[in-house]
Amino acid sequence: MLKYTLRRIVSGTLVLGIVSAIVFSIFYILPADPARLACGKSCTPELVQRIQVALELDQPLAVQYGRFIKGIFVGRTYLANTDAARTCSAPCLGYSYQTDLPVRQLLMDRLPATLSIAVGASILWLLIGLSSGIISALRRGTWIDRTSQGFALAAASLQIYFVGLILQFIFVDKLAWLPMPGYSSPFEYPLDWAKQMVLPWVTLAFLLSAIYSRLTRSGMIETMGEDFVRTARAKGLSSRDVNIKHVLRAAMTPIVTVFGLDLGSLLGGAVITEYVFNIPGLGKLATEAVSNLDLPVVTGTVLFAAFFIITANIVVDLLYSVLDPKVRLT
Amino acid sequence: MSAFLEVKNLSVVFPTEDGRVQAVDSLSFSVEKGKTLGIVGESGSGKSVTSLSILGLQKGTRAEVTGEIWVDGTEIVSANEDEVRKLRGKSMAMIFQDALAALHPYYTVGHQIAEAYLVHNKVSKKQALARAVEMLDRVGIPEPHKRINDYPHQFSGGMRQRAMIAMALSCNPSLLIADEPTTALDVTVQAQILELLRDLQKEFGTAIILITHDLGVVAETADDILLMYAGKQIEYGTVRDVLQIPQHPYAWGLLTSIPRLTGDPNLPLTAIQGTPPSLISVPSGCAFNPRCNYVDQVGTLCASSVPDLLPIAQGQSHYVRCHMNPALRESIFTTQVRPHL
Amino acid sequence: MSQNSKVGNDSGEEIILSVSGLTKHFPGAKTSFFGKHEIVQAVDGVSFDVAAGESLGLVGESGCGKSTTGRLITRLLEPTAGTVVFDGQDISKLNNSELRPIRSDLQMIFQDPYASLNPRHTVGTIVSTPFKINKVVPEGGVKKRVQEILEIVGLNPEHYNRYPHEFSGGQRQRIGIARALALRPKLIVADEPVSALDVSIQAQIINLMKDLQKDFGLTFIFIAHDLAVVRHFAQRVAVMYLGNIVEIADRDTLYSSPKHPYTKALLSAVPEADPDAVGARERIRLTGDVPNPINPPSGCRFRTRCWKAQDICASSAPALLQIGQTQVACHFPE
Repeated sequence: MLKYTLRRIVSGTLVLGIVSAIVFSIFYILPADPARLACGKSCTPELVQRIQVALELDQPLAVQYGRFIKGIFVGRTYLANTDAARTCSAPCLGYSYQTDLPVRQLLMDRLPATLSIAVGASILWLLIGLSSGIISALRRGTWIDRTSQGFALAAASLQIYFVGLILQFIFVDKLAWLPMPGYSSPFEYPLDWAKQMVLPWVTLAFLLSAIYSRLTRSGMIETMGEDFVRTARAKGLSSRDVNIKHVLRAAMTPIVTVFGLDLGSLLGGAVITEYVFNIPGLGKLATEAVSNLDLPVVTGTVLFAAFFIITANIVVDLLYSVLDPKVRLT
Repeated sequence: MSAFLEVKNLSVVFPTEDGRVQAVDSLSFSVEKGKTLGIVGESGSGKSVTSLSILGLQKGTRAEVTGEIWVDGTEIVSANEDEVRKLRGKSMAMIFQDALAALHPYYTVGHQIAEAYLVHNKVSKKQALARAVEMLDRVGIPEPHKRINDYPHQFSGGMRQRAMIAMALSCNPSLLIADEPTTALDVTVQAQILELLRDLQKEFGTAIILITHDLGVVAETADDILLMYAGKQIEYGTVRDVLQIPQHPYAWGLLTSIPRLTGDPNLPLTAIQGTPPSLISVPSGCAFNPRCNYVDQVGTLCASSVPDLLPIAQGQSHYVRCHMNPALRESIFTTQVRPHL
Repeated sequence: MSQNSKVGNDSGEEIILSVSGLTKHFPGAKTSFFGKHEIVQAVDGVSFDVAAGESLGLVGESGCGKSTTGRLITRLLEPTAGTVVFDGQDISKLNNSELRPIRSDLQMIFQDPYASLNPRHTVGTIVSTPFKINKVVPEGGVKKRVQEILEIVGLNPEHYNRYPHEFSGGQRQRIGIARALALRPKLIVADEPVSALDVSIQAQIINLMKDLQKDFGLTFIFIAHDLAVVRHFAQRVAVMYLGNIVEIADRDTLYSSPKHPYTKALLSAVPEADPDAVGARERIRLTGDVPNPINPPSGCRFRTRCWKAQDICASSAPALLQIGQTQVACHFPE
């Protein structure tokens, strides 16, 4: 198990390396010149060149990439041996072309908002999705089942931006029950934080709880037909024990996997949700960076997202081996 | 002495899109404590459906169960789920063909046996696990105190079936239903399991219903045989009677068609023509008539009316459902069937 | 561990198949992070001959390697070691294109008539596929020939355009037989052909295969776990245990006087549908299950379940030796 984990961490790190190399190469072959973009309106060829040197864009791709990787592990110094030298300590992801702030700081600033959305929404969608799925499965074919699955189908086919804007229109613009969504620190202004987060949570959970409801229902129904459930009933267990200890326990395992991966990809940035509600999270940071061709920030956000997804994958696999004793990690 | 299990006129109907499927049709039999009844039939004969009805496992499904099933003084068909649930595992237990599928993959064997014991006994988890160790030891699993922590997939096929038996017998039930318990096992392991069942029966006086397609298994294990075809019982009697003086042409067909270790292997096997009927379109009259070699013996009766289940002679406990009269059956059996046995 | 002595019949008949030292090791799970794969010794040094027109039964319990042997002979699997000489040619190392001309002579019938037929193809398509693959055009055309074959195996030739799901289990096995028969093969390997069928249907299929063998002079390798079934089909029987042949003899000798303790135990474990036979027969109850082929016992692989085992059984693997009419691999034969 320990060996397995170590091997997964090594291979995960390799994947991160490959991801960063790909992002680097894509920007290198793009026709747009970041130095020109950073130069602004009153730009001269000299200025562009100076910026190029400052950003180390004059170096070959391999050197740039090498320095970038070195920066992550041991830190780096820009414009070494000049007056303008500045040291960026490890893990260094470089400086934004746009704002000249360290990328690491930008990511850390944006993380809490994304974290708030992801964790809050996932609690909500798990609660709603699992409970409605379980009830649907237990009351299969009744009006409760048909209604909830009808809802789930409708919700699953709606887009986040559509639902988000509708909800915002109703609850913020018309009824004024909620403030405009945004981000406040939950430690300093917990009430504001919660009020501002309600709409993003509900919007995201709206779609995902529908998916989880259907997943749970089909998993439960499939498991109910298993021989071991018949055995549990033949033992004389109450239907409650049969459903919870035997059916749900088996049906949960694949859902845990899906959940881990969903949460992982969400932590990298709830792109659409953040964009719709104008919340300063990682997803918004990434979209802004892409449209500005802010290479260090793009690389940083992509790596950050990839890190979460890979970590989630490893955690899910380890968790799976705990949940399913048949799985041997080798 | 009244029988521990008594089934009277049991019928099970499943409403389906293709119409009503009569899986079991007016079945009657009884089993006494310490005795074994073998229910024999091919796929679709209704033998497994019967066993699920006895445990009341069709309650809450679309199956329509009628008739009476008396287990230890309680009538199962009319009882509510809670009453039946209290009997399940305690007075009557069941083991299944595929023990790997019938055990929960995510719980240890010990946990699953202890769970069965905990449902019906007011004991601590620790005492229940001690009972699991005791039961595993009783069914011949070495180092039971270690093996209770294993998961089903870590057991071999034979050991899994032993664990199933340990689980089923943990509350000392008076009735054990074994649905093809050895079909998935190798023949040397099958012999071990059948012997274990016999030993346990002797020790605890359990009544056993053994559901199987294998006449050899029945001959070695059962006291009585109930032969089913298309949901109906067509012959019922002691093992000796049914296997040595079988009365129904289907029984003749089965007994002459199975390959044996004795007799001349160069002679062709006497096969039964055709295939078992689908329950959606059971032939009219005697369901076996399209496959019966002696259908001409009684005119057109076989295709038009269902024969009654009658004793082969007054006062006999050997029953058969066939239109041929006993004398005719006897002469056909002696001249055409017995030489092939 | 290998059994190098040649097993065959010495009556001077034409040998159509000669298997020698046949071995198949499957890679199992890895033992550790940097470790090697565990090795599943499915078949380990199996040798025997089959004469033309003969039917050889291959019996044993799960994990004994009988099905793997069948797949090695028909070259659905590639042997790890050993040779398979079929019709004078060693086919054990041929690649797929070299095998193609041989496939028409070497056919297989499978256990599961549900899984082995493509549900989207009609019976006609299924049975005529061998002709198309081998680019053979029989006299009178493919369709006419296929309908003849369907009739031979007891199916209605008018059912040419029906799909497998429209047939019962027994009929589907007949389709499988028809497909195997299409190109008039010299050797058919039948892997548990009746074990998925209802009891009343098994006899039909056994009788059919027996008739076909007689009528077409086919050679059969009949793989089954059921000793009674094998007794009704095979003229010679080989008993396998954990990848080895432990005993091989003509049918009557093997069933009436088994030499290997395992054969004896196997025979005594078969339940008989005769109340008088119960109790009359000598009973041998083996303890435990078949060991794991990943780590088979040293020496004689049967020794862990054998009541006759001595020290020598653990230290040396018995060779397959001729004793009377039988070849048996045991230090203490009956």
